[in-house]
Amino acid sequence: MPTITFSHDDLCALVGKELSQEELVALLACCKGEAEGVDSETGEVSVSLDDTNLPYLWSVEGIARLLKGLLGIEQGIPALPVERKGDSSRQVIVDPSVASVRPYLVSFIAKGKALDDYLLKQLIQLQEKFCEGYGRRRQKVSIGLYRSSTLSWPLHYKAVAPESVRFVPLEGDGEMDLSEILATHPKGKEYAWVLAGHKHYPIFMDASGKVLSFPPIINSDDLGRLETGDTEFLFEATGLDEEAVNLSSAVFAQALADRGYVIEGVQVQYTDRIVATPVLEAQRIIVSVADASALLGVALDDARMKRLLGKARLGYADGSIVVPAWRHDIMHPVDVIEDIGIAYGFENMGSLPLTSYTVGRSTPLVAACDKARELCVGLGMQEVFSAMLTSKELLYDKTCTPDIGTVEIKEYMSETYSVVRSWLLPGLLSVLSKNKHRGYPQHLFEQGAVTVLEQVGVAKTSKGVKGAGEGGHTVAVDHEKIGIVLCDSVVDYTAARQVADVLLRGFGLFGDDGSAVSVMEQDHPLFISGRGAAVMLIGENGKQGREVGIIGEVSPEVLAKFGMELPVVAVELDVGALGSLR
Amino acid sequence: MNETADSVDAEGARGKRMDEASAAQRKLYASLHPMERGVLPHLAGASGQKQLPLSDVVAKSGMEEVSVSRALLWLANKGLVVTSEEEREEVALTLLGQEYSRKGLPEHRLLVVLDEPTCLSDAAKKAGLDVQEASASMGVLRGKAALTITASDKGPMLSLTVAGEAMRGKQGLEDKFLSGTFPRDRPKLAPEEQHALSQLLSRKKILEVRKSKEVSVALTSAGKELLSHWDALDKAGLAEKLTAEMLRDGSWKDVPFRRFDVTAPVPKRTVGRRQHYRAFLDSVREQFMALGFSEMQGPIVESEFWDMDVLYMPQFHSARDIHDAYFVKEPASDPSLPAALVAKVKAAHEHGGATGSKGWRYDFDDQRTRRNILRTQGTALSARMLASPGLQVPGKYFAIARCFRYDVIDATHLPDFNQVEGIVAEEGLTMRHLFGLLELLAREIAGAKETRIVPAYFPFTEPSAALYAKHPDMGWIELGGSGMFRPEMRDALGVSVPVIAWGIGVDRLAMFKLGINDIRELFSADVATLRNARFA
Repeated sequence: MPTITFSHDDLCALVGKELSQEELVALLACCKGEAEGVDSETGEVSVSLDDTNLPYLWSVEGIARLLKGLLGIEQGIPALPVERKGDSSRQVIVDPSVASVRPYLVSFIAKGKALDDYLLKQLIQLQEKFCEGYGRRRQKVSIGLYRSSTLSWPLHYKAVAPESVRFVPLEGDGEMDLSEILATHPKGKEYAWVLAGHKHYPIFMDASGKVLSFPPIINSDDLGRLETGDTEFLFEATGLDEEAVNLSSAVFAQALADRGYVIEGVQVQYTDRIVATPVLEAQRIIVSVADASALLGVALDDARMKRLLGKARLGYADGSIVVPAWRHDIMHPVDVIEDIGIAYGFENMGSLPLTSYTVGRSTPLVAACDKARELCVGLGMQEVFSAMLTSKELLYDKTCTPDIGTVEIKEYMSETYSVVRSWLLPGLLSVLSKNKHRGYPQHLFEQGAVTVLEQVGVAKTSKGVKGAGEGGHTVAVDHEKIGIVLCDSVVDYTAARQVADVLLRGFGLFGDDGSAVSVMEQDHPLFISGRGAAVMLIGENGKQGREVGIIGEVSPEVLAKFGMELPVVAVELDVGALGSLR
Repeated sequence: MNETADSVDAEGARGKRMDEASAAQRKLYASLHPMERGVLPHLAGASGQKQLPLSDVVAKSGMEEVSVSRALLWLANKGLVVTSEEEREEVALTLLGQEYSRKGLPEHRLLVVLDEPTCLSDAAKKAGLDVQEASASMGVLRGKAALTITASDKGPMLSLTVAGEAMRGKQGLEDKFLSGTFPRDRPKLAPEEQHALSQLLSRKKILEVRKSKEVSVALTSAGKELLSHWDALDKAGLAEKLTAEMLRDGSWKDVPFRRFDVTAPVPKRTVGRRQHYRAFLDSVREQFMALGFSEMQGPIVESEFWDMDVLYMPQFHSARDIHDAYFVKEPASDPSLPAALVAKVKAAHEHGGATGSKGWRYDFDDQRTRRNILRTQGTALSARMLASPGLQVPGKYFAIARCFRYDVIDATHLPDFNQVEGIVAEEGLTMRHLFGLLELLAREIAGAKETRIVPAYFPFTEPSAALYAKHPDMGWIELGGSGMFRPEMRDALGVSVPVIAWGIGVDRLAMFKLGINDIRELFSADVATLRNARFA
């Protein structure tokens, strides 16, 4: 989401109406902009713009254009006259060598009032936001602005061997070749990735061989340095996506024309075609009044729709909607219908209630989880709610437990949050270790999902699930678990087992009239040997099923790693599995 | 009624039956703790100027001093006793002082043996002094002009002056002071004793002054009054605890229960309770179900396909960079995507499919769509629901989804957060229904009174709207986003009815409701915070 700043006065001047701060905030909302700050002293407004697909609004000129429409000051698509000379004095010759590097170029000249500091900043702001966001960090589109008065025409755009051209880049220390710029210049280092893998780099120069720029990296310090007082300048954009490059020329040309600049076209001469730029071809789309009325829920007619389209700065001719060249966001009639709705005013449309009868339900899994939580609260335990991201160190190293198959993040921000938890007890032990200064007993539980890697399509081995075997593949499976730790000066296996029994009985799995689970002795590295148990399902005809829980006294070795000074007993049960058994 | 009872009491007190305890006194007695009852009878006779020192009460009652002190404090609070505290300064002998007290001060002992001129070492031997004591004493006596010292081959030769002779005969002030009994009250010392004390204190380790506080106690008139009926009152005693035995044998009828101070603070209990944020999410779930929404669940590890591509988010969208989503090492991709659906989604992205849309106009990457990430948005669950054969139309759905985004952790960002998202699918839905839904959510879920709905942008909805609510302190706060799912997205899933998609920033809402400023507190690991958190 781009954020731009501009002067409140400038916006009002462009709109042709004095706007209060309150009016401005409300109108910016219609541009999908949120006023982040209005400096009452400097009159500087800062707005973050929501629509990442509508770069014309990333400029004060574009915002003013839409506001004029919404306020009824100006309707429809503004005129954009372009002087086109059509001879070599306004020509860029594109060499076929750029085809595989950065094939497209557009350009024009703007002439008008002398650039001042503010205007220069506004131009550079739009250039940066466009190239970073819409231009995908200059890969798809990059833009250059140049002093045009001293250029020798025609201009040339070609790809060259990096060492064959030397020039002084903006903010550079003297003359460098293109490889040196990529290796040492700050902008070179920042954007070198765009040219990675290419043997030849694009260069933009005039007829006398003077370099304008090294697209998309850096302008020359000579022709590529726009200064205050300049009354004419050249716009150029290059890129990989012709449509996006064209859009940039229309967005800039219209913004400058809005300020009264005269736009002079430039012919771009490819080997096989000539393109007159800026490319200002309008597009058409058909939107029916009925569809618009149905989606918005308001009754429109032809005239009303036409008026609303005008307010949205769209055209309407011969039954179809005309979309100006500075907008490429219209893919489908719904995009136009939204603009009609905004022009109508969301606040003017009125709301309607949902009236259909529907039944609200949760899932059996959620219900099972809530039952387990309720029992734990009833047992006097404090619930904990933690992040699901954690570290392997906590999950396994500190619990002396082998990796049971963990979802790991490729590029993480911090090691502490580098994997998805695969069980709950490590997190609970960590909470205990942070609360040694708090009152005891500390009986805690957490209910939540854990994610474990499992193999599908091959027989499971007893040795975990590292790597996909032949024929099968690894999947990440979520399990809803409940983890419980009891910590006090005296706690023992009995206390943990009592808690587990309460839960198992609650799920109806453990009772006098037969049990669906059995508790068996099973050493677990978390527990003291001989004081750990596994809860196993009992399958049909009494066969032992899979493990659905563990109970035990946490070993002193683990407690030492957590710095615990009191004994801890623990239970972890697969609530999802237990809840689905009855 | 009361007045009558009081006047009867007053009558009784004035009358002959002084041993008859009044109702008020019985009530007062019944409020006495066993420790108070242990102390009070031993205070008989202590009143007015005749105060009883604490130590005497301890001795008489046979109770621990700390228990006696606490009992006296409580009795004082009930107006039955007054205690006073006196600062005391005691002069006591040190070990050395005790020796000097027995044998006399060394300079006097030296003086006594000097019946004729004697050398220092012989005199020391005779007086039983060590060399150091002897030479110090020599210095003291010379300072008082009691000695003359001449050199000899046996060392310094000491002989008494006339003044020395006079001093030899009688006990000095300091010696006299030392030979008395200790410890002594410093303020009670006579002037000459005070002088001796200051002299002796200027010397090392003979005397020490100990400061202490002496508590003494006396009965108030109420206390005396109560004590005057003590035997009658104390005969029945008081029951502390109601026991099973008392209930069984009926003895509870015979003994009054001690009255408790029910206003006294009690020790804190640890509590079993739901975590504050989880409890808030529970209430959100209940509210959605009450509004006719059904819950959706789905996997945490999700393919880009379900998380984004199905939602018509172009693969070049900036929210899809390596540094915005968490990519998973293993399983790095999902080989089991439904091929027919992938083809439809691909067509929608590339050219709009059969919807008449231009599409996003780029080459959809069939391999990239399989890449696994940690779910970045709850909308993935809505996508799965729309693709599911179980979808009900009309239908309302919600999910409380844990989502993950690459973020620096601070007071407003966690890498791991919750979203409440959902859909409404129904024939004939319009933007006005969407507004109605947002107002409903603002009112029912957020409890917001003043709301505003403004245009918004999401790649998968058009038109889109954002919901703002007015916070009393913080102004307009964005509560959530919403929109009509784009036809390109619905068409690929075979959904022909309009679908409203909505989402609420539930973490932020919870912070407002719970009065929390730092998002990390939603997942607090501090047991005290968890135990004391207030409800939303």
